[in-house]
Amino acid sequence: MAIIKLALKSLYNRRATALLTVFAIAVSVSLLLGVERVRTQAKESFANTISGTDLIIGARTGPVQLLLYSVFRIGNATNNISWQSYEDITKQKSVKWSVPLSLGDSHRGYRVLGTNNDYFKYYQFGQSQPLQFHQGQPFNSLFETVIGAEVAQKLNYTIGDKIIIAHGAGSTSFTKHDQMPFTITGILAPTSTPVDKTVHVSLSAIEAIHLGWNNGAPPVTGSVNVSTIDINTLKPQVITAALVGMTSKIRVFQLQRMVNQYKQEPLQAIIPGVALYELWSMMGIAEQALVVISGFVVASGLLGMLTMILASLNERRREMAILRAVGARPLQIFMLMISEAGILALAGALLGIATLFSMLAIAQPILQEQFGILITISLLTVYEWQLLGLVLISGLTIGVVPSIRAYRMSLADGMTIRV
Amino acid sequence: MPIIELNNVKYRWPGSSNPVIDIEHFSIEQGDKIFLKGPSGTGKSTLLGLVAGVNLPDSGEVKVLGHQINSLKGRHRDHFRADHMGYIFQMFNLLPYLSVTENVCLPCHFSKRRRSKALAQSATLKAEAQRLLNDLQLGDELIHRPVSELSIGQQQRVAAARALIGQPELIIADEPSSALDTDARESFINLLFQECKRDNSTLLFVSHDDTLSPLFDKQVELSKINQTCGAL
Ligand SMILES: Nc1ncnc2c1ncn2[C@@H]1O[C@H](COP(=O)(O)OP(=O)(O)O)[C@@H](O)[C@H]1O
Ligand SMILES: [Mg+2]
Repeated sequence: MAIIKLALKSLYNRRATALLTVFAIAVSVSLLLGVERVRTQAKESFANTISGTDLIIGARTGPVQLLLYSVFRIGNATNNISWQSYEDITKQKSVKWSVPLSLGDSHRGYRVLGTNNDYFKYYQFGQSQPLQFHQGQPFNSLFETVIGAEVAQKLNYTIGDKIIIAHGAGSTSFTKHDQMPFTITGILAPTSTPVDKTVHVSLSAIEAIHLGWNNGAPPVTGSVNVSTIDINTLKPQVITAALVGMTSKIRVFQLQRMVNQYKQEPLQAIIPGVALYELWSMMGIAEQALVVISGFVVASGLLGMLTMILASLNERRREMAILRAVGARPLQIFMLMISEAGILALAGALLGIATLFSMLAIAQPILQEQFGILITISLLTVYEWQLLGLVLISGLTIGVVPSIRAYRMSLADGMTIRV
Repeated sequence: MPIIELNNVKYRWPGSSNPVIDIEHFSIEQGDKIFLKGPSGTGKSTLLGLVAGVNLPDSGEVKVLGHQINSLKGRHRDHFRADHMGYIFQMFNLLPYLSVTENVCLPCHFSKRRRSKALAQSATLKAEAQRLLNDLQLGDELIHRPVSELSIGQQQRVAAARALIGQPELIIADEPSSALDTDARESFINLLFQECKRDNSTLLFVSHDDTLSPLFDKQVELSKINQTCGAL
């Protein structure tokens, strides 16, 4: 096509402004696609964090809050469940398995989870994937620990290393329980979930490190002799939450009702999928705002293109007359302008895709590290192609404005160029 | 048969109250070199627009090569112009984003007829463009420069080569030499004559500069044929 070649050459001739326009479109397109991708993949990543658990039981807060602190390790529990209630509820026949969770301590910024070895057996993520040991084995005695993949990698720990656990969740906790080092017996394989950032110990260990503590005050030095601690006396009093698997799905609601109406203390049971859904609807407005904003940024990129083409139009009146003189139809003048808009929008979209992938490559480790959100760098989805198509169509539609003006001008000017 | 024939042609620019062109009869014979003169603003370019079929008369008929082009559809008029006419403007004739030869070859992208005629002369369009440029005394060294680096005289010769490529029957030149100095003016016109003669093309040359008029076969004063000129 001679017209498209002309459009390309004409744009190349004005490459400085054309490039700026293309950059503006590219930035807006990559923002649009990036927001879209992080949005959908964050959801996916969240949804992949827990699988196979029918109910999560905890103190009565909100469902989203319970989900966030028990599974995502975001925020802290305000209340606990007594061990007695836990045993009482989970002894029901309909309960197939249950795992107690006790949170509240940390190791160098990583959360410490007190649980038992059932956790490694029943906890599932992604599409019903169980946890797997990269190295070593579950903890068997009091001062043993199993660490997540990221903990091992970031802190450079291997099997047999000894670590110290602090009370509270900060990395520079003043009240380190430094009398009782834990030996690493196992390192879990990566899961891309908060499990990777967790230090797992037994429930008894959690009790042990709080021995001698009185209402939050550390024990007097020397008052607790580690060697004399008796495992059997270390019965947990309270836990933070519990994961429950049921024998049949129908029983889920029964148990949920029972927990929610539990007399002895105010408890709640949530279905992870339902709570996640609630979380999405809470984030819905922010999400939509982001999408709308990126839509506006695309619009402003395309308007920049319109400005550029319109601004060039007057100085190109002569060019139109020349083309008309050599036999170009007014329709071809129209096509020339439209193809310029199309080329700019297309180049912007392509550069935008390239920018998106480089941005994702940069953002991927950061998102994973900071937020535990796994973004996979995959090919464009159908929806993303549709978005790109929309950008192109909008570009062409906007291009109609200067094209019609050029068309009219070329008809009105005839062979008399009046500049 | 005259190559151009106008009968009772009236033309008024949209938005203007008086017609610029009101010509009862005007014709040009094939192969002639016509000098059309008249002060500026009297409608010379407008008349050329009517002959080229870019503008349509409000009434009357415009015949070129025996075709009544004012009754052709827009698309066919554009095609007709591409096939049969070469046009040279006063200045800024070239597209700045095309090379010299690309500028010359431009009509061949809008007219198959001129393309095949050009290819009958030389092996490639580019070779034909270069042949024409050389004939018009533009050396190979100049041909490879960006058009913006050419002098106005050189640019006008490139424009002439573009008008001539593919041997259209009619060459229309709208004050093509007005921007040139006297020496360049005459050599430009002589080169144009030489090429038109070679291809047996008709040349309709418009100028407000009387000094050039003796070089031509025939002189036409616009005010003599255009009834509105007295009114202006
Ligand atoms: N594109 C146009 N639109 C409206 N009026 C025009 C246009 N071109 C020329 N005119 C008017 O037509 C008249 C003749 O102009 P023109 O044909 O360019 O004269 P010349 O070529 O003899 O200098 C002038 O009054 C001019 O203002
Ligand atoms: Mg004029």
